[in-house]
Amino acid sequence: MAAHLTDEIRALVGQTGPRLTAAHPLGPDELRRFTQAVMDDDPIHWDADAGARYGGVVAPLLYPVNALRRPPGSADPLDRLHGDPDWDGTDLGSGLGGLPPVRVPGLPRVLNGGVEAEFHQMARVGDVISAQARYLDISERAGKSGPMVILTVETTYTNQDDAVLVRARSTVIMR
Amino acid sequence: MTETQRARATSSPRCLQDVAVGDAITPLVRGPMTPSHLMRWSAAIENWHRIHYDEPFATEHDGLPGLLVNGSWKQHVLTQMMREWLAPDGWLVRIQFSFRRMDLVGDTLTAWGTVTETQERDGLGFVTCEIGIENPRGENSTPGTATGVLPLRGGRPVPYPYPAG
Repeated sequence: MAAHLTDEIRALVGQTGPRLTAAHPLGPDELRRFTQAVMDDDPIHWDADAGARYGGVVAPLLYPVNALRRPPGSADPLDRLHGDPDWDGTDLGSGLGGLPPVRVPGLPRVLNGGVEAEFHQMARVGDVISAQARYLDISERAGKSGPMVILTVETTYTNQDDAVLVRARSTVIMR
Repeated sequence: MTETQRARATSSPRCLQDVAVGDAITPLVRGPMTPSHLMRWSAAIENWHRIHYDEPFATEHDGLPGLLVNGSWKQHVLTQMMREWLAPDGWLVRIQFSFRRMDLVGDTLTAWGTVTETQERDGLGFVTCEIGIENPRGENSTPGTATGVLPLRGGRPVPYPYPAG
């Protein structure tokens, strides 16, 4: 049954990626754009008095999972469209927190299977968020539409004081 | 507390004794979702997957019925619903969900939850819920579970930051 899982891929289980740190502290304008995009109008996201229980202006609980974006000076990801007009716009390598990508011949589709997250505190404006990911599990299953490889990646998000904000386990399905 | 928060707090339990199995979580209704909403979300998080904003690519290249609402967006809606229901005295400890069905441009989506279990532990009150997102086709696109913690009536406050373990 384990037709797609090579020893090389299995050896990735337990492997930890680099500790990635956001290029700049969380800013109020970035937070406003984010909260409007996610349609969260709670004043704790812009009013320090409203967010007093949490130590000031805070981001939505799951914000850290979207906090690690391309740093200044990064290559333009959309340049790829010029040479590859059928490219779907995804980049698995950057989506898994710097972990070595899993490439499985014959399973070209990559789907976001789901998330499990534990919350400890909310990111505050001014926080510098870091993330470190590891492969918790890699398995193969027979799905309705054929074989699937399922990656479980656990990522720990911390602030500049090394306090854990969120621990998230993402399931990525390749089929 | 602001007026907005006061209004929210009136629909939220203040302690475990305010909650019973079968209670509904205050739902969040979002939509109808337009290409503008999806484009704004994709830009906010710089996710350039074209099935969320490039309709010819989504339908002709990938054979989808339309632009897809991002799972990365839906996860925040479920989390926000639980956090708001537990605020101002509680805390969302854990959430889990799977992306099982497609939600499409044009859909109005309802994030919902139901209390399935309550439990006292360590002087705090834990509430487990079944959660999901319902679309106009009657599908639960994003089934999952969540666990929140509330004070007991007259008991200690929920600690913040909320400790691990």
